[in-house]
Formats: sequence, structure tokens, C-alpha cells
Amino acid sequence: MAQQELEPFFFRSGQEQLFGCYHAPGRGPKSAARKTAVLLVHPMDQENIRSHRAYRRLATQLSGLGYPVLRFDLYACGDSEDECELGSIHRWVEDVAAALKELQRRSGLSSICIIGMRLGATFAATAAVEHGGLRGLVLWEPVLSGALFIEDLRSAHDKMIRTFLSKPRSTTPDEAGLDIMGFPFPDRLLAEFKEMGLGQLEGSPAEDVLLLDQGTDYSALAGGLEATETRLTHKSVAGPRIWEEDPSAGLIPQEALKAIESWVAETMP
Amino acid sequence: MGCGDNALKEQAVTFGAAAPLVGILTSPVASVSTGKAPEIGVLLLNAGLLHRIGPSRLYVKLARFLARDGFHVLRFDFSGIGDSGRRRDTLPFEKSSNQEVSEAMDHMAEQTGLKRFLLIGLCSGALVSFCAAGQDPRVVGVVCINAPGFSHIIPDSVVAQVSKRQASRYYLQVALSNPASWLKILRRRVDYLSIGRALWNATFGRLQRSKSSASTAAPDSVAATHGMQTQLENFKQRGVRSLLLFSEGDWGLDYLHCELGKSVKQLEQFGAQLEVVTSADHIFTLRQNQRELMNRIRTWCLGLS
Repeated sequence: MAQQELEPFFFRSGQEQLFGCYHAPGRGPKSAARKTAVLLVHPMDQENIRSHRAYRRLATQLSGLGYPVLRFDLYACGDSEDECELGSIHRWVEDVAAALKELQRRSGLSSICIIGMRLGATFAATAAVEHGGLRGLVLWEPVLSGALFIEDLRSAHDKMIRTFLSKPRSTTPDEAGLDIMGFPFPDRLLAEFKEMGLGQLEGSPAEDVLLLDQGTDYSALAGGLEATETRLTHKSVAGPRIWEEDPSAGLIPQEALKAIESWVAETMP
Repeated sequence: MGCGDNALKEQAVTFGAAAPLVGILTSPVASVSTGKAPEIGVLLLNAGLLHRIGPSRLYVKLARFLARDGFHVLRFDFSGIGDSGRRRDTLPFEKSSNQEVSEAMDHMAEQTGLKRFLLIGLCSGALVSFCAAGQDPRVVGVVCINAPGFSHIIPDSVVAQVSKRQASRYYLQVALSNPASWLKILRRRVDYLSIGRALWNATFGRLQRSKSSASTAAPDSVAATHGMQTQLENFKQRGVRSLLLFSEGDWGLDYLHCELGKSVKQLEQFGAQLEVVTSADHIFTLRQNQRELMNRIRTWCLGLS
């Protein structure tokens, strides 16, 4: 069999199985012995599918620099167990903590940097504040408001329906809850999202934080983070907002990936 | 490994000689299965560049849905897609994909003992399924969902013909009902000539097509049709059955009609079944469409087994 670049596996979070890919530290010319391992938290639903290629590339490049890397699918997302309507925000935050432990076990390192995009970033920040002790955190275009997130999804859904060549019979909620862009959002989950926000972080999420934006105004969040003990780096980069792009285009947000790699290598050598 | 259902187990697998290929094998749990288990393994092939979970996670749902009926189902990534590595050789995709489908069957055979297989794919995955089914005698059935064609080479004349039909459909079904389109017309920010051509084609194209189908087809179209018919003859001789599923208005359905013309009605002679799903987009985004698609596939698979 061809040489393995990564190890796909399932691990437990609570009673359920999550899918993960472990990238062992590379042994190439750019590789160095690192004291920190990196956890990549995938976003959810359509954003999970659209970001997969970029995440895979980022994990490969970081492992090439010598970092052990684990990326994983949240509960009921991607290849992980169960169907999406069973998820909850509390559950997804707990998944981040479970994946962190799994990475510590596999890598043998206690120092961890978490990288998350969109809801992956939001859940990572929440888990970081709740559990503490995180070395680094990358918030890549985090979702600030659950209510706005759902509103944007609904808008994208309506836009998508207008492009159908054969009009759908119904776009109203079905027995399993509201269908937004092909994923179910039952009333219980919608209520949870309505209450969710990243503006109220009650403490320092990590020693160092990179807040990476691609056009969204994060001045309020940056101000909040600066008021904690966190050392904050705020960068704006151009390039495709990959979570909004058609995945069949195969776009890679090179500038964002480069910014993350550089920051991780400089901050956690 | 679990997947929210005691009747199933899921396992991450890797295989492949030229590239490390990654997949998830979904299997029924023997102790809870009822009745006679189907002795056919199912492979789900990448829809374009989307990784193995499929559009809107369709492949995950379909794998678990079929496994509840006793099927072993493998969803995996071709080399260079999703979590699979890149090949070290320079084999073009139309050849490497056939080879990797065979490797996936080898792996499933080792894991499950199965000797007969069914290929399912959406969009480019449908095209690969159709082509790979002709290469490996272990394949007994193929489900093509919105296949963009049935040959890796699509003749320019067919592309032009299908593009005209699609443009007409777009203007009639999408643009005319969109206020933004009317605003563009009022502001004169549109190509009036293109719209005129498309609407002319929508109105009179059917008449022209019926006339042209009675005359001699373009040579490259004949070649493509010959390729598909050769493959269907091959399927008929080997007893391979196929389900050709399309969303109403899909590019691939127009392509099939352009390629086969009136011969579409003779597909059943080759063990091929044509079904059209109304109110669905190309990738079956809405859950109501996914449910209908999965039910149709399930019924057909159970009939095959």
C-alpha cells in the first residue's frame, strides 16, 4: 500500500463516535521538533463541505513544519455519528474538549493550539474559556451571532431555491424541522442559535490569539479580547471566503492559510 | 464504530497501491440483521471535488440507509480528493479512477468476502461509475445520478446543443420569475441577442430537433452515441443492470436525449431504467429530494439483490 500521509479514525466524545484525521509530524527539510500540537475544528453543514479542501491543505502544511495535527468532524457532522438534527451547541463545545484530549493522548504533548473557522472558531473559543490552559487559538472569521448566522443561511437558502430549474414542491418545514441548505434545524436548535453569541467571552481563551478576518468587522470582539490577559494579533487578509464558495471550484484561500502558518510558527516555535 | 444505530457499524479504512485512499466502510451488524443479507457490496464515488460525505452529506445518509437493509457500503475519496493522497504516477483521471474503483472492490472483498459490487455516483461520480462498470467483471449494477455524460469525451456539437436547451430553460424557469432579472432588462444591462436566441430555441427548437433527428446526426455525436451503446451492449451481455436517475431539467438529461434521441425509449432492452425526479436540483440539496432519491435507489438495489 502507498505511504500513509494521515491516519483516519473514530474516537469517542461522550457515548458517540467522532471522525478524525491525525497528521503525524512530518520528517521533511522544513520540519522541526515542536512543543505544541494543533487541533483543527471543522465548521458545520455546508461550510464543513466547502472548507474541507482548505483544512486538509492547512493540516498537511502544518504537519510538514513538524506539528502533530488532528482535524475532526463535530458530532452529527461530516463522517461523525448520527444525523444533524440531534446536535446541540453544548454538545459541540464538549466535542472540542474531547478532541483536545485525543490529540494530547496521540501526540504526547500537553500544549495545544486550536484553529477554527466560522462555527468551528466559535465553539473552540467557548471551549477554551470553559476549560482553560490553551496555548494558542486561531479564530478565522468566527460566527459572532447565532441569530445572524441562521438569518444568513436562510437568505442563502432562498437564493439557492431561485436557481432551481424545477421548482421544489415545498420549502416549508417538514416533520424533521426546518430544512436550510439541505440540513435540518429543528425548533430546539434554532432557539439555541438565537441565544448564541461570541461577544460575551468571560475570560482569556488562550495565551495567544490570532483573530483572522476576511472582511467582517471584528472590532468589538478584538476590544473584548484585548481586555483579557490574551496576547492578541488581529490580521485582515484578502482571498476567497471559502465557506461561501462553490466547492466544485476547488478554491484554496492561500493568504489566510499563509497567515495562519506564519503565526503558528512564530508564536509556537 | 458507531453511527447512531445499533444495526450498523462504521470503520475508517485506507487502501490503494499508487496513492493512500481513505474511506468509511458502513456495515450491518450481523447479530441484528434480519432475513437474507444482500450479497452485493456498494461503492459510492465522489461527486466532483466534494469529499466522500457527498453534497449535503447525502452519501453518509445513503450509506447508512442501505446498510440497514444489509448492504456493506464503502464511501471513499479518489486520489487527490478529500483525505486521499496524490498518486505518484501520471495516470489520467479517466484511467486512475477505474483502477481505484477496482482497488476499492479488492479491499471490500478482503474485508467482507463479497464478490459482486454495485457502483453509485452523482455528477462526475455517475460518469465514473458507468465507465468503471465496463472495466471490471465484478460490477453487476450501476446507479448514475445526474450523469453529465456517459463518456469522458463529450463532442462539441452535443455540448452546444445541450447548452442551448439549458439557456432556454434558465431564462424561462429562473430569470423570468426573478425581479432582479427584470430590473436588469429595464436598465439595459443584458445581452438581448442571447435572450432572444434562447427564447427562440425554447419555442421552435423542439420542431427543429425533431426534424434533425430524422436526418443524419453529426459524426462526433454518432461516435459518442456509439460509445454509450457499446457500453450498454457490454452491460447486456454481462447482465449488468443500470439505473439512470435525473433531476427534471438537469443538463445530463438533456445530454442523454441529445445523444440517444428516440433510442432513449429502448434503454430497457439493455437492462437500463430511466427515472426522473421532479422538483430537485442537480445535487439534491433539499432533504425532501434526498429522501425520494434514497427511496428510489433502495427499491432498485433490493430488486437487484
